[in-house]
Formats: sequence, structure tokens, C-alpha cells
Amino acid sequence: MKKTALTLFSTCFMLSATAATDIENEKYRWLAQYDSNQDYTIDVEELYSSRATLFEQADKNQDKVIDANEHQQFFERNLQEKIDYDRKQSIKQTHVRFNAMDKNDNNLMSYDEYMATAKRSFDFYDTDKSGIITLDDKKPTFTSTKKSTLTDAEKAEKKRKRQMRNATRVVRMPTTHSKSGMLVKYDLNDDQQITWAEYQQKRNLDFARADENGDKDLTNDEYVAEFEDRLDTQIAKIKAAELNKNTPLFASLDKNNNQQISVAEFQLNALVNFTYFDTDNNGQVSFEEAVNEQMLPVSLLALSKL
Amino acid sequence: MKSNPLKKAYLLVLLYGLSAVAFAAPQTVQFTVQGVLGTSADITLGGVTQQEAKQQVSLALDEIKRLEMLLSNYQNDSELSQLNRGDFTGKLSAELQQILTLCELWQARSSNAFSCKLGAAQSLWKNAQKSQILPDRKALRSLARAARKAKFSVNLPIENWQTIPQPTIVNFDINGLAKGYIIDHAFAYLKASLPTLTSLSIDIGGDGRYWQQQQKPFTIGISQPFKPHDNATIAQIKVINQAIAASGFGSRHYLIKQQKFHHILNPRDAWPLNNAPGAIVIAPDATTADAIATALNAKPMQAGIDWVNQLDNVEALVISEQGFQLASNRWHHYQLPATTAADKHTQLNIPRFSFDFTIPTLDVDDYEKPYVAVWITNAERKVVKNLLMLGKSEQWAQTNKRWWRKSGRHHELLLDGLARPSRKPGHYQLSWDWRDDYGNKVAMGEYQLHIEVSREDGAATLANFSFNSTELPFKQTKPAQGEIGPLQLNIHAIR
Repeated sequence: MKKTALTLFSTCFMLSATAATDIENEKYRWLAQYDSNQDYTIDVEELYSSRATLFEQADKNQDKVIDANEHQQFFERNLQEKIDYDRKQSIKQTHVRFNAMDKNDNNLMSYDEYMATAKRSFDFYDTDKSGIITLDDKKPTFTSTKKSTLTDAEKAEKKRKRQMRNATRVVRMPTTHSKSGMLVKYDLNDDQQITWAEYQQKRNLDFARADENGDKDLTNDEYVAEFEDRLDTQIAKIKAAELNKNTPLFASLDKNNNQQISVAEFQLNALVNFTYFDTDNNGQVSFEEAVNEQMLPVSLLALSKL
Repeated sequence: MKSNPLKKAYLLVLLYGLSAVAFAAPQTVQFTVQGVLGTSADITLGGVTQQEAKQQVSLALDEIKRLEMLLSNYQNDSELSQLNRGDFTGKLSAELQQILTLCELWQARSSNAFSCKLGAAQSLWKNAQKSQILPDRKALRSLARAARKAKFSVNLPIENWQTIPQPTIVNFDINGLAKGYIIDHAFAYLKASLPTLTSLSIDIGGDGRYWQQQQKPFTIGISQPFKPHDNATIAQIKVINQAIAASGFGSRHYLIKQQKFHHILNPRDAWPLNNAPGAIVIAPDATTADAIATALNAKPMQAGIDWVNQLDNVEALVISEQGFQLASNRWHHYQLPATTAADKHTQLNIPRFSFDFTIPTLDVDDYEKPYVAVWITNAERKVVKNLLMLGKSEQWAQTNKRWWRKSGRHHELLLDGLARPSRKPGHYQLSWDWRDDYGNKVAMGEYQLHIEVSREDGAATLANFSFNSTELPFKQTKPAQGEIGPLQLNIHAIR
């Protein structure tokens, strides 16, 4: 996975305590950013070294301080890189999805192929086979009949990568990979259930919107373009929200409020966060290390270490 | 680089090749002219006197200038500029009619990888560079779609066109084939006006057209696509009565907030191309070569070469920034043999390599098409050639564990540009031209072919063949096992 410095300024923990998984994700993002040798463990030396590199990248005029303008440019550039990466992965996956749904390999997705996939998805969530997806349907189980050939170490590595990837993703689309997601998208009359007719109606609308030339077949281009339109709408929202974080993040790093971030301020922030994550106080932060579920304001943490 | 062929006025400076032959006697005459279409032109004529060559080349350059004035996006009073502004009335000139017709033709032939209608989008990108604010991606895609759908009856007066051009939507940018068109035009003029001509070559900014009465080949050097100023050639090719065009070499960029964006836009969504390969094309005429080379920038490498293989009398080589090469079926027939003894040996005795494999039909629930990887390693177990990848998802490509470890994880391009979509059950055949991923001929010796197939909810299966290219013929079959049907590798020498 491409490593970016997206979270360079986003680990200042100004926010109040949140759920443990959120804190875990924050740690994974933090690890992904500074773990230069990719061993899922960071010590202070590695952290300082990674931070020093980032500081140099942000300090465009090389005057040993990051001013507000440099901070904003660096923040925006890294955000854009991350968005571009996530977008590319999403589009790639859409091409793969098209190919999987195009069962007869004619490079077209017919209405029948499209609806066959839709029906499988509907049946998957309609676990009591009542013909209606309701709140009473039990959570479906994802079972694979494929026997894994991975070793335990490989499985652990795969899991770590997946968790890191999930944590570092900026662009997220509304998902239909959960019953609640299905209800949001397909419960047209808001009665907390989805009938097959209701589901079909929405899928028909989606198909028609993608079928640009109205020939009842979707080309790869039509299918992907429809997704891209939704994806880019979502990206615009996410980007606007993320960009709003820039100013408060700069303020949190600029401890002496002189409108500049010095190397010392920059590294201090890293040390504070390191200390917070090093819950077993062994001088290292590892992927498996338990997180502190009580998130403290950064100012208190900083004071306690000074 | 797709240099702007219509930007600058040319400076007429004729340089004559040295010759001891009398001024009036037929000979080979060479002209190097600066400032033609914003670059330089080399024109070589055989079987003509210097006087008639000078006279006709001068007239040909006038003709190029006339076309430039007609077709330029940079001259406010050119016919194209007037058309783009919506000022033009009446019928278009025959030349612009021809060009716009060719644009539509290549848009269709390339499945929309080529477009002459992205001028409005290019303007948005130029403005974005000035304002340092990225254009809205969705709006650009809509613009590209609208431009793609806009149809014109170019032979009718503008007033009768089905869709009147709107400068903010359809703005013609014909750089994708204008240089080739002008080369063809000048070529036709010189051939027609010089009856004693025995050979003719016109090269403008690296694109050219070549003709020789005796069918003797011209030798052309191909430069490094992403280091065009290094003067290093990666290959020499020979062409006979053909044209060559290159695109995507040494590309320019828009710079917005310290981020670089390729100056060539993808016709699909008017967004700058990302990791666009460089392309070199041999075709019967320069317009065709130019259009195809431009379209190949916008296609994934493997898809581009698959497309070229369906075209008659066209060959192409595409090269990624990392140096990966893919060549069309007969491209290497045009490439001059290298001079080393080993290369000469392989050149003379290129064994025919044929690998047959089958994706079996399996009677299972929720069947998903498998991911397939076929690759070749040398005696040191290093991957020399990724022969085939079916399936583009990294998640599933990784299930071919051996291939992923040896090759896939090291090169993002393998899935992004070289993999094909997964395929349904059936029989498939592969060949290998004994070249590695970078276009180099491999030495004679021991190799292994590997095929690995994995399927969601199925097992992963691997099969290997060991062979020695000095011990031919080689024929080996393997029975079906797991996810792989019957296999056969057949190699025999051709003398």
C-alpha cells in the first residue's frame, strides 16, 4: 500500500474520547504513516526520523519552520494524494465487479446479468427467506468453502494489512454490505423493510441511469461512469470536510502561537502521541499493543511529559 | 512528446546535403528546416536535381504553412479558431472536413480512446493551472461525454449541422492527428510534383513518412520514451513505404498545487492520463500512425496492443515509464537485429513457442472466473517474462501466491496495465517471442514456464514445465488437475 503523510497533522487528539475501534484506527493510521521499515512497530528513533522527513517535505523554503501557507499546501497535497489513491482502488474494483457480473464474457452487462446479481444480493440478506428483508432477518454469515492455504503468520499479516488499509482509507462510499446500508439505499418508503418489488424498482432506476444509450446493455464504460459520478460527489463532500481540519490542526501544533511550527514543536507532538500509544511503556508502539481507551487532551499529555 | 504541430511559424532554412554531383544532375538532396509546425523537419529526396528539389520543397513548405494557417488553434483567424468560437459560417474547407471526418472515424475505431473534441476541457485545465484550483471531475466527465456524443455532418454548411458547436462543450483540438495529416499532405504533394523521384522521406518532429521506389528500407532510431533527450536509442527499426509516429514521449504537465498532471487528457473523462505509456506506431500513412499512437496513450498497455493486433498493416510498441514493453504481433519483424553473436544466433533460430491451456468447466455453486498467471523464469529462478495475467483485482491476484511473491507484488503495472480481465472456461493458446518484459531477447538456455490458477471458493493450482531452448523440439503435456485443465507446451525451431 502506498504510504502517504495524510495524517501528518491529524494525530493531535484534540477531540474527546471516542470508541475503542476509532482509537485503534487512529493508531493504525499513525503506524502506517511512520513505520518506515514496515515491521508494524515504531520506536522513538524511527518516529523522529520519519517526522524529520515529513518536516523537510513540508518546509518548502527550507527555513526550518513550517508557516501556515506551507502547512496548508502540504496538507492539501497529501490529502489529494490519498484521495487519488483511494479513488483509483475503488474504480479498479468497479472494473473487476463488472467483469465478474459479465458472466458470458461479451464485455456487456445485460439487464438479466445485472438483475441476477441483484437477486443474489437480495437473497443473501433475506436470511429467513420470507421474500422481504426486515429487521428480523438474522445477520448473514460470510462463509467460504475454500480451504485457506495460508499459514498462521500469513493470515496475521493479511489481517494486519486489511486493518491498516481500512483505517487509512479516506474515501468511503455508502455501503450496501450491511443490512442497515441496504435499508438506507433500497427502503424507498421508509417502512424499515425492503420488498423484492421495492428493491427491483431501485435497481431498475440505477440500471436506467447507467444505461446512457438506453440499449438495455451496460458497457464497462457506462457501468463505471455511473459509479464514478456517485464517487466523485462523495469525494467532493469528504474533501471539503477534511480541508476544514487544516486550520485547527495548525493551531494545535503551533504551541507558542507564533504562526510557525518549529522542528521542536513538530517533534514534541509526535512524542506526545507516541507516549499515549505506548501503553506498555516499553519504548515501542506495536500493531498488537492495546490502546488506551481514555483519550486525554493533548495539552495535558504534553505537560505531563515536559 | 506529442509536440504541438501547429504553434509556430516556420523559419525557412534549407541545408543542402554535400554532393560532388553537378547541380543539375539527379541526386539525393537533404533539407533540414527549422520552425516547421513548431519543430524541425528533415526532408530527403532521391532522383531529383537540387534545383527542382529546392523549388518543390519550398512549395511544399508553403503548403504546410497554408495548412497551419487553416488548422491552427493558436491563430485567431484560422478556420479552426473561427469554428471553435462559433464565428464560422458556410462550408468548411476540404482539409478541415477531412480532418474532422478522420477524427470521428478514429474516435469510433479506438472505442473513444481518441478524440479531437477536448479543446474545451483543455481550456479548463489551462485555467486550472492559472487559478491553482482543480477542475470539478464530475463536470469534466459530463463535458467529455457531451463532446463524445456530438455528431457533425462536416460536408454540410455549418448552419445545417445537427449539433451547433458550443465553445464551452465542443471545442476542436486536432493535435492528435494534425501533424500526421500535414506530413501526408506534403508527402503527396512532393510525390506528385516530382515525377523522377526515386525516394522520399519527410520527418517532422520525430513523426515521418518514408517511400523508396526500389523497396529499400529506411532505418529509424527509436529513442527512450521517457528520456527523449538522452539521445539513446532503444531500438532501430526498418520501414518500407510506411509511416511512423510516436506519442507520449517526454510529456508536458499541468502543475496545480505542486501536483503534476499529464497534458494529454483521457477522452473518456477529460482527466489527465495517469501512467500513460509511450507509443510508437508503424502504419501505411502518417495520419493513421499519429491517431493510433495518440489513442494508445489512453489505453491500458495490454488493451492497446490487443487493439493494434486487430488492425491491418499496423504495428506498435508501447513502453511504460518503468521500461516494460509490449509489442504487437509483428513489431519485431521491423526491428533490426542486434549485433551480438548471441542475438544473431537467436535471430536466426527463433523457436516457435506454443502453450495451450484450458480453464475447465466446473460444476460448482457460485462459480467465479479464475485468476490465471503464466510466467517464465530463467535458470536462476528469476522472472524474465510475465506472459499472461487474467484478472485485475489485487486481492484475488494475490491468491496466485507463487506468482504474487515472485512478480506481482513488485510491479503495480502488472495488474494496472498488463493484466486482462478474467475469462470464462475454455481453451486458450499463448505464444512467446523469447523476449523479456523489457523487450530484450533472452539468451538460449534453461527456462521454466509456470501456470498458476486460483478461483474464489476453489483451490489454487500450479503447474511447471522445464525446457531448454538449445534442446529442441520440446513437447510435453500434463493432464488436468485441480483448477487447471489439460496443458501442452510445444517448442520447435524454425530454420
